[in-house]
Amino acid sequence: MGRIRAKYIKDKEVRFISHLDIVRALERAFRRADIPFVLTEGFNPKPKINFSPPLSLGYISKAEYFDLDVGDDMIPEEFIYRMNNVLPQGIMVIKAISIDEKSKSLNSIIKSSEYNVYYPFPEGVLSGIERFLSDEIMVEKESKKGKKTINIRPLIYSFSKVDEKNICLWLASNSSESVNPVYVVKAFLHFSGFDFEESNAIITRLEQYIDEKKNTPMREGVINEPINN
Amino acid sequence: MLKDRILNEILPCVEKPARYIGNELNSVHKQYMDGMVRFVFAFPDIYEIGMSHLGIKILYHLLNEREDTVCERVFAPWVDMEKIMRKEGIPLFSLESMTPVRDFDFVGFTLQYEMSYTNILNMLDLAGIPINAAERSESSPLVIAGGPCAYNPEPLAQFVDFFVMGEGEEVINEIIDTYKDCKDKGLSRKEILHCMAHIDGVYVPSLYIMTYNEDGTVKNVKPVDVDLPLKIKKRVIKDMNNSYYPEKMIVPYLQTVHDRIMLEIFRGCTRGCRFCQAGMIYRPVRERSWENLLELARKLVSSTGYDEISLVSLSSCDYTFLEELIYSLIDEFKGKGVGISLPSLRIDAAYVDIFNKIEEVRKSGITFAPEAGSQRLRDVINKNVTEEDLMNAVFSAFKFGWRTIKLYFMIGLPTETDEDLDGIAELGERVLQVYKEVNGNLKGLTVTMSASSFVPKPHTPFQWEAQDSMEELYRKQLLIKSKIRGHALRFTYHDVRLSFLEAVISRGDRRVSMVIKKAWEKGCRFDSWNECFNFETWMDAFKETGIDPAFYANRKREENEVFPWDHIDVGVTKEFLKRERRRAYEGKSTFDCRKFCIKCGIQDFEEGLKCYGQN
Repeated sequence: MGRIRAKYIKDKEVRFISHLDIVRALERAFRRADIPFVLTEGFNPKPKINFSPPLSLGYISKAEYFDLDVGDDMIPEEFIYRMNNVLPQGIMVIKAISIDEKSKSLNSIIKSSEYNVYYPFPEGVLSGIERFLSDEIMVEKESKKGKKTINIRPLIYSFSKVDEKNICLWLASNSSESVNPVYVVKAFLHFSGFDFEESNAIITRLEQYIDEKKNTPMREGVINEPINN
Repeated sequence: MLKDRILNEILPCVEKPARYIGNELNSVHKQYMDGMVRFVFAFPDIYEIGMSHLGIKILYHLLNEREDTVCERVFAPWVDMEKIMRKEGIPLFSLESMTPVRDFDFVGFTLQYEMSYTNILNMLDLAGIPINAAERSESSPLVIAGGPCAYNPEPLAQFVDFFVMGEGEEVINEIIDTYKDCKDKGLSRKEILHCMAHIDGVYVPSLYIMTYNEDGTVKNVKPVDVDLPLKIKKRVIKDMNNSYYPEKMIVPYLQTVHDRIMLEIFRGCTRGCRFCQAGMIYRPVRERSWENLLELARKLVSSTGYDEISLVSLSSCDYTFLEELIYSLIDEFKGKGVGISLPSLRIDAAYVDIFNKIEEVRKSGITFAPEAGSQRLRDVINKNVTEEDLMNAVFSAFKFGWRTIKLYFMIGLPTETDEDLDGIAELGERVLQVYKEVNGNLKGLTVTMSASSFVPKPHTPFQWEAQDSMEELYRKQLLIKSKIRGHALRFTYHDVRLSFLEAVISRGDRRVSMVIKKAWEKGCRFDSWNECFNFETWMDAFKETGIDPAFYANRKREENEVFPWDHIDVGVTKEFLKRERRRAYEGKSTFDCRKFCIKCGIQDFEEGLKCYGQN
């Protein structure tokens, strides 16, 4: 038995596909690619697979991850090659490594995510980033228990301007604490006196990290350099 | 660019944007070039329903195999999407290239159920194509339609340029060739329609005139030219093993209703249930060989990666080589986590055994369709199963460990009495007894008994029958409900108002199109969806158009009445249907024609056409 950790991107129209639909699309791709995956027990056997935290519908991602249990002799390079031969347009495996079967799940190790937000920001607004970050940022969040107001400032690790229309956000995204980039941009625009039109934003997840030092989930495995594309 | 607007401005604002993006695995994206024929296959319901339809899968790939043709798809946008499209001025567009539907040469609708008809008008309107065929210009697409409901085309005659009768694979290439030929000659729309009318199986309603008697019944349907056929004969594939079947199928991202490989094992049905339209119009039975099917299954699993293969047909347990097929499929795919499923189940203990083999891979509920509660009524409708058959099958199912059983019934059948209805609850009770015999108690058992309302359909032995009034159907539902007791038995039933409208439209003539149009204008669409169905609006539409729905739904026809669909020839003769109807009233069942020929007429329909077992 072995386990493959793979990094894949979600691009173009595929950003409108929900996480659950992506899960099914990948399961089918394993079958088409003849990947020797391990089946779960029970009446409805499925490939044994574990995903990084789900991406919101409509976001592009350059760094999604999954761990898949496979037969012994699956070489990561071959896995990439076979998968990319059969994956639909817009989903592509860009990296794969073999990891120990006793490795902790992706969900438990991933602590933060980095995003690019494209938005037609009103002129001059981006000069106010520092002021915005200098105080508490109270945001109304909806949860199962109802609405509550929380301070999201501690969840923002960095917020920087890329150019007039793009910003880069590094945010907490672990199993106990996380903030969606939409909340941050919305709060920022409100702070600056503007409304936020969500349909004008294009959000891209750039990377997911396992600690604050920006180590990616791939670092845990055999390959020890940061994964960039 | 329309595509950029849709992707960046429209889709982020709608529920399930994946319905509108296309781009699924095995979808075909062709560069359109001058001189190519553009065909858009239109399904008048949402993506998840439409993508579960086998016909679209076959015809889509068949058309795209032609180098000179582009075939794309479009589905009815859900209400939220429609609202944004209308507000933003986005025309109905195809999934593959996001091209406006009005720019295609053909818009081909499939007619699977009557309650999708308002969606057809809505889709045409959203596309910017005139609703009435007569108002379309030289640059409008040809709006065509096929599928089971096309066998009574008249309620849509006003909106559709031409109908295709029978099996699309058999005729679609001739239609495209004829169209290209006409275009090369520079013919007008009217001339093109004339050419189309000479293709066997094509019905151009504008070239036929329907006249009525004083009592409102149809007098006759006559072509406007002497050279046009008096009867339009359906097209039939003669040899299934040599007919086209795609080796690739589109794999949707969204979970569709039938999200699996559909392996069509045969067409037609020999059982001859007298209420069943499919059993009459899809004759004769033509099987694919099991070796052929196994080969197709291999190709489809490797091209789609699906984890389930469904053996589809009207009555899959009747397939001659069912065991050979199933055992070889299980052998081939068991280790790969690919399951086999068998949708409709015959009431026969021997088949439960086979079903059990299948279920080693995947376990789900088991369904039987006794259709009626008494032997007398089952003989009337020619459902050739006995209570003993049912109990043996159920016994076997319980022995193998099933705990969820579904039983399908129909109410409002001809000659039905309250005693027949009591029989439904009694059957349920007997199923409980059998479970007790096997398991000692009722623990874990769920029996769902579901009753739909009988809708008399064209081209069946019951096409002359009256549908029960809504009040009567409602009374019957409550009567059954009052007799069913205990928490293990569940009773569900269909909305009688929908069955009533279905009865009006399915046997409608050309005047019924006014009602459909009026209902749509008043806001009706997605009528088969609970959250959208508005019965009062339909009733207003009847009032405003002066059409009496009871004339169509609740009137018993004279034996020699001319029907609006009499000029459509499905191969089964009217004499056979009359004979079967008489036998129904005599309570006589008719043999399954796998045993011997019952002379329904299909044998003499076309030269070279072979029925089941005929060599």
